[in-house]
Amino acid sequence: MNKDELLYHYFSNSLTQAQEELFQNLLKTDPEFKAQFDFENNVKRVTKEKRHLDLKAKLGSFESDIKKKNIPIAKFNFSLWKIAASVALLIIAGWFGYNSFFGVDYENLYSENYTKYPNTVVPILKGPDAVITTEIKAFQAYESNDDLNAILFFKELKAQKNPKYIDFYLAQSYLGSNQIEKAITHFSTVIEMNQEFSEKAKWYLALTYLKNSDILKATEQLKEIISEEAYKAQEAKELLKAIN
Amino acid sequence: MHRADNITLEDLREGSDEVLKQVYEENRDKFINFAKRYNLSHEDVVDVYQDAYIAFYDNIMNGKVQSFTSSISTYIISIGKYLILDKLKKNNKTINPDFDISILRPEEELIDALDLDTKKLTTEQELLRKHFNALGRKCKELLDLFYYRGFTIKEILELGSYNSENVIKSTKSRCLKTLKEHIKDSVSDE
Repeated sequence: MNKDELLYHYFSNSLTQAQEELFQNLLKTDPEFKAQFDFENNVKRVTKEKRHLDLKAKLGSFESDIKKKNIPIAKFNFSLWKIAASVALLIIAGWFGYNSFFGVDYENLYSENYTKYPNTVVPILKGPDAVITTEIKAFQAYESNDDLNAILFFKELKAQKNPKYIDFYLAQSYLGSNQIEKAITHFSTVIEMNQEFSEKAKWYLALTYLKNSDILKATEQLKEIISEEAYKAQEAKELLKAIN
Repeated sequence: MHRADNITLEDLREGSDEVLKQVYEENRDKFINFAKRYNLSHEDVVDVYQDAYIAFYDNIMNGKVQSFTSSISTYIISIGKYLILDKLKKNNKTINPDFDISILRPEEELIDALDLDTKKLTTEQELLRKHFNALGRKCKELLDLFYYRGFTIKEILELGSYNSENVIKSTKSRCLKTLKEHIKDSVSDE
């Protein structure tokens, strides 16, 4: 049996006992065989990672759907709940009627207004002397729109150093990967803690609400930006006009 | 739509979004209730649930789970317990001596049979991932079937996209060669 066949049987889980012994022996004594094994093993790990990232994105959207459905109704007693449900039905019916004639396409408005905030924190250098830190890995992933990996590295960085920009870029990556609830949480933290990017976070929080079709909160957020003449105030005015 | 209890291994292996979502939703509350005792934030619990779900999915897809010996929720909760324990260890969290560690211990027999590798990619693997993503669709699919699913060449042939085992073997070699060359080029460019 040649070495390629041995590797083939290893990766398809079909080595016999005798082949297993030969395989282990070659790993120890044949550097070329070991290098090929390491390469293929890395390919295996990478295919797994790709599956994970694809599935994680799906789970993120399932989670957003669940959160959308879970509007808190526990505090209502039953009759109040019935009234609320009737009012909600009337509003929804009215909205659908209105929307079918004069519909506002919030998704489209979001896309027209959303531009991912650039990396203004660390320059990404290339070359043999480039030092690859967690921060660099995070922004490399961020710049190449690999939001799920960016989240992993930003979270790692938050645990290590907790730099003051971290919630803003985490929120950006959550928004980019459609994890709306988490994006809202982290943009809100930036604003509440008055962190470095708090003005910018207000604009992105408004956009996040818009993407989530939460028009009341988006409107509230946009009005605040306009009254404070904050970042993107002019765009906020135009967006508010378009929503209403 | 059937209940998650009636979902078969084949349903899961086909991996339609509908089935994935159903299993996710039907086990989520049970997992969150179970994890309440570990004093983790809601966000952390949801993260662990998703990681446990992904690990469960891996073991369905790579054939480690050949038949269900327990319900889907038992699998996911056992994996979740294992991951929580792992997380507590990594964070070096001390556990209150009054805390009964045995409730954290996952169902060992179930867990031992599974692949639960939670290591992050090495720098070398990160580079490989970048170039893997740049491969053509056919190469990515073939390498996924062979390495992630653990399919034999014969099983890949049975899927019907290739005419012979030799074509599959030569395509796989070509894909690996391309990947190696791209990595070599990118390293020598730097």
